[in-house]
Amino acid sequence: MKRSYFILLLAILVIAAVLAFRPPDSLVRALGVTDVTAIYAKSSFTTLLSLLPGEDLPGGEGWYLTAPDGAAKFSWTSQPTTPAADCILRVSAAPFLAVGLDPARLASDTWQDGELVFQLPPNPPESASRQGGPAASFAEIIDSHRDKLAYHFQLGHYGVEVKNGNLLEWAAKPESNGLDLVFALDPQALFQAGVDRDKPVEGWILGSIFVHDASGRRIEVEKYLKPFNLI
Amino acid sequence: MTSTTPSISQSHEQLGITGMTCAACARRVEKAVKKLPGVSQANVNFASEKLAVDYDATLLPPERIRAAVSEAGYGVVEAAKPGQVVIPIGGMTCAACASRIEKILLRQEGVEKASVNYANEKATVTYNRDQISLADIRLAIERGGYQALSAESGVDADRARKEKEIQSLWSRFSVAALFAIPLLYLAMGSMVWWLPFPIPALLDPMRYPLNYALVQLILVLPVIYVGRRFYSVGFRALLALSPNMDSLIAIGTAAAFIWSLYETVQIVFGYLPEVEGLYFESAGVIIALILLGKTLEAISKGRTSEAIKKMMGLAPRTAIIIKDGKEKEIAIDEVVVGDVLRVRPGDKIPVDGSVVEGETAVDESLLTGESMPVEKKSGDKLYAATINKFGTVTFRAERVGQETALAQIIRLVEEAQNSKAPIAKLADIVSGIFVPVVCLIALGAAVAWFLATGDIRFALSIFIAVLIIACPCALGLATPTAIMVGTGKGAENGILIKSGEALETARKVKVVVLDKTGTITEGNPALTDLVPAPGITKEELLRLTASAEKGSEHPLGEAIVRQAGVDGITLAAPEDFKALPGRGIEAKVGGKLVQIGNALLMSNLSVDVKILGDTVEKLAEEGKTAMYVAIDRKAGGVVAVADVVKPSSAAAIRELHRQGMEVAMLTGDNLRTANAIARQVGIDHVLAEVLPQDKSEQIKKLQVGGRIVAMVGDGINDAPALVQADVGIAIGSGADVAMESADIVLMHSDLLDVSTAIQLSRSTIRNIKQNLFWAFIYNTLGIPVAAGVLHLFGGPLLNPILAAAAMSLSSVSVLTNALRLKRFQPHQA
Repeated sequence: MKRSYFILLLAILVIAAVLAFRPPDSLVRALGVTDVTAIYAKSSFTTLLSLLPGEDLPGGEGWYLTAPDGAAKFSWTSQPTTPAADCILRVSAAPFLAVGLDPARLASDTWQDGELVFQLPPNPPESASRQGGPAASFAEIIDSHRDKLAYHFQLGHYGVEVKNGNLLEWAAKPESNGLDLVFALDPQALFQAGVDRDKPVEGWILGSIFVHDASGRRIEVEKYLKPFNLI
Repeated sequence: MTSTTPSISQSHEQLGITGMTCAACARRVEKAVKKLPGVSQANVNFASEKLAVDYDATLLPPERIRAAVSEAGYGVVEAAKPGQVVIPIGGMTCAACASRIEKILLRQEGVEKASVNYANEKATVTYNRDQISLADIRLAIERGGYQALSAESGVDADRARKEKEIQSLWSRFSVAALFAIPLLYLAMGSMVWWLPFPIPALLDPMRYPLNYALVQLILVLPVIYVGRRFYSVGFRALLALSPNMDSLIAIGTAAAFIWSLYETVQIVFGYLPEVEGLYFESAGVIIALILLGKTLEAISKGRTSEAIKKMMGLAPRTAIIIKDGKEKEIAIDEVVVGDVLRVRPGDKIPVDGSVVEGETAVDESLLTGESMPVEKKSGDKLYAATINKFGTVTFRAERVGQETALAQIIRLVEEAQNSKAPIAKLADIVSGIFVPVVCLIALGAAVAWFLATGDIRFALSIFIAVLIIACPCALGLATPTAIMVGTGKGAENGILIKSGEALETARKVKVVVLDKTGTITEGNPALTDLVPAPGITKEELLRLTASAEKGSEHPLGEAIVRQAGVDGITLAAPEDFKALPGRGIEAKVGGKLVQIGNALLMSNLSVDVKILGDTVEKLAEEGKTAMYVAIDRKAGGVVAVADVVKPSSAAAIRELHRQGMEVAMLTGDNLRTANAIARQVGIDHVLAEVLPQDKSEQIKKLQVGGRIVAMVGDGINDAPALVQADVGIAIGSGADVAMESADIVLMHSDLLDVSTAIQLSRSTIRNIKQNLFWAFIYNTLGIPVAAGVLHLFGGPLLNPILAAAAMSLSSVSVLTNALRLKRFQPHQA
C-alpha cells in the first residue's frame, strides 16, 4: 500500500477522533437515530408509569412519582418556560438525621423543610414544548438533558442523574428485573455533612455500583440505594 | 522459482510455492502432489517455501503438478523461461507509454512477444536469442526515450518477490494496526484507569451503546479486509477437511466477529446489556498481531536463506562475448555453450569453460578454499564466479546456466535445505493432527463451560482463546529454519551438506574412517630425504637425480623434479633415458650415467650400497619410498619420496578425539607405510592393504553394534565406502563420483572441516530441539490455560488477545533462535 493511502487513512481516523471528542450539534442530532439508550429509556419509563402512575403536581406544573414507602419522590415539570427545575428528587431526611446528618453542613439548595432536595436545572427551557402528558414530557426532558441519562449494566436500569450523582433508576425490563425502581443518593456529601457511614440508614442500603466518570472510565462508587419491586 | 533436472524418465523439479502460512499448509501441498500418478516423492519446505518433487515424466506432465498445487489453494512461482526476460522500465508517464514501448519492442526482429505493464512498470519480452540479444532489446527501449533498468536475474526476482511479500505483509499489518489500536482503546480503554486519554462521551457504552458497537464494527472491518487471506485459505482448507493454522484463525476471529454482529443487532433492538458481549476488538487485534507475527516471520525467513543468496550473487551478471572479432557485453543468461568469451583482469569468470588464448592466474578459493591463485594457460579449465587475477584470457564456454560448477553447488545446498531431517517427521506428524484436535478441544471446552456456567460469552472467549493459542506455525518453522541456516552456514564454510538426514546423522558419528591418500596426506608425493654418499653434495645429488628423472612420467620422479624446481636448480637434458620396469630408471646426465632404483636394481648392477648403511630401511620404516642413486655405477646416495601429511591433519584428528570419536585409517597402501602415517597424525586404528572393493566391507565391520560411522575419502575407489558409511564425506576437489556418493562434500581439502561438519550438525540438531521446545511449550502450556483448566481452580484465564500475542511470539522466538546458528563458530584444536 502506498504511503499516501496510509496517511489518508490516518487522517480520516484523526478527523473521526476529533469529531467524536468535540461533536458538532448537527452530528449529535444525526446520531439521534442510533441513540438506543434514549429511545428505550423513554419507552421503559412509560412502562414504569403504567406500574406506578405519576400523580399531578399542584397547579398542573408537572407530575411526580412517590416511592412505595413514601420516603422519596421524583417529580418532573410540564412547564418548559417557567420551571425552577426540570426534575426534582426529594428524599425524607429523617433516616439520615438519625445517623448524624447536620443540615447546616449541606449545600443550601439541598435542604428544604426536612427533606433532601436535588434539582435538575432546566435546559434549554425555550426549546421544549411538553404538550403530551407525563411520558412525553419526561421524554423531552431526557432529550434536553441527554448527558444525564445512562444505562446501568449491573442492574439493567436506565438512570437519570438529577444532581451530583443523585439518581433515579428504573428497570429496562421490569418483567424480568427484581428491582424496578431505585432511588440512589451520593453518600459522600452526606458523610461530609455528618452521616455516620458505619451506621445503617433506615430504608436505605449503602452499596457499590459501577458508573463511568467524566472521562469515560468505568469506576466503582458507593450509593445509598432505595430499591423497589413494583410487580 | 522453478528448476527441472530431467533424466531418462524420472524427473526432479523444484517449485516455489506461495500462500503457505503454516506446516499444515506444507503437508496439504505435499499430499496433493503425492496423490498424482507417477510421483515418487514430494517434499515441501515451509521455511524456504519450495516443493521438491520426483516424478515419472512419462506418466505425469509437469503442468499437472502446478495444477494440483493451485487446486489445493496455493500458488506456484514461475521463473522467466529461456528466451524470456522481464525488464523494469523507467520514464513511463501513462498507459500510452506502455503501449508505445510494446510497439517498439514488437518492431524488433527476433522479438516474439512483448507485454508492458504500466502499473508495475515492467516489460516481459519473449525473444529469439539467435536473432536479437538482450542488449539490443534494451537499446531499442532506450532509443524510444525510456530507461531499460537492470533486468531481473533469478536471485533478484526471488529477492524482489520476498521483499514484495514482506512489504505487502507490512502494509497489511500497518493498516490492521491503524484500526486495531483505536478499536482496542475503545473496547478496553474504559477499563484501564491509568490511560491518559478519555473515551469520547458519544462512544460511552453506558450512554451510547449502539454508537460504541457501530464504531467498533467500522474499525474492525478494514482489519478483517486486510486479513481476508486467513478466511479464504482457512475456510477452504476446512472445507477440504484439512484444516490449517489459517483455519484456526479464521474460525476464532469469525466466531468473535459474527457473535459481536449478533450482539450489535440485539443492541439495536434494545437489549443494551449485550454491549458487554462485543468481541470486535478480539477479532481485530488478533488479526493485527498475527499479521505482525507473519511480517516478522517473513523477515526472519528471508535471513535464513541468506547464505544461498550470497552464493547465487557470486556469479557475474554479464559476459563479454567475441563475435565477428568484436567484443560485446551480453547478459549472462544469453551465453550459450561454444560462445567465445573474454575476461579481463579483476573480472569474474562468467561461465565454466576452457582457456583458448592467453595466460593468467585465477583465484579459485570459492571452489577449492585454496587462497593461492591457480595458473591458467591454453586448455586449462575455468569455473564460473572465480576471479581472474592478472591476465586477459579468451575462453570457450562449456557449461552454462544450471550446469556450471557453482550452479551445481547451489543446487546441492538448495536440495539439502529442502530435504527433511528425520526429526522433522515428528513435527510433521504433530502438526498434521494438531489442528483438528485443537478444533475439538476448543469446541469441547466451550461447550463444557457453557453447560457449567450458562454464560455463552464466557464459553465463546474460551473457544476463541484455545483456537488462537494453538496455531502451530512455530512448529512448522522449528526444523526447516534451523536446517536452512545450518546448511547455509556449512556452505559459507565450504561444507556442502547434501541432505537434512546427513545433517542429523553426522552428530551421532562415533567412528570416523579416513582414507589415507589425498585425505590425510596431500595425495601428491614429495621429496622428503636426500642422503648423499661421501664426496657428493646434496645439491649435486638432487641435480643429477632430477635431471635423470626429467624424462620420467612416474609420480615419484615428478616429485624429485618438482623439488629441484623449487630449489632453483638448473637441470640438464637427460640422454638415453630408460625405464627399467619394477626396478627404476637410468639416463645419462652431462656424460655421467645416473641409475635410480631399488635394491634389486643396485644388485643387478653390482653397485655396492653398503656405504649408505641402513638408510633405506630406516626411511621405509617411516613410510617413505626410498631409492638408491648410482652415479657411474658407484653408490651416489639415497633419495626418499613420500606422500606428505597435510599440515592440518594431526590437528583435525586431535579435534575428532576431543569430541569423543575414534579415528581409523583405511588404505590400500602397505601396513608399514600406513602405520608410519598413523603414528604421525594419531590414528587409533589402521586398516591397511584393503582393496577398493573391500573398503565397504571394512565399514560394515565397524558398523557392527549400531555404531555410526563416517567415511572421509576423495577418490573413485572410496565411493562404495562412502555409500556404505552412515555419513559419507567427500573431501576437496575430488572425483565427481566421490562427490555424488557422499552425504557431505568438503570443498576445501582440509580435514579440519570434518570436525566442523560434525560440530555444525550437533549445533543444528541442538537448535532444532530448542526450536521444537519453544514451539511445543507455547501450545502445551497455552491450550490448558486457554481452555480454562486453571480457572477451574481459581487461576487465571487466557484472554484471546493475549493468546494471539503469545502465538505470534512463539514463531518469532523460534525464528530468532534458528538465526542464532548464523553465529556458529567451530572449535578447532
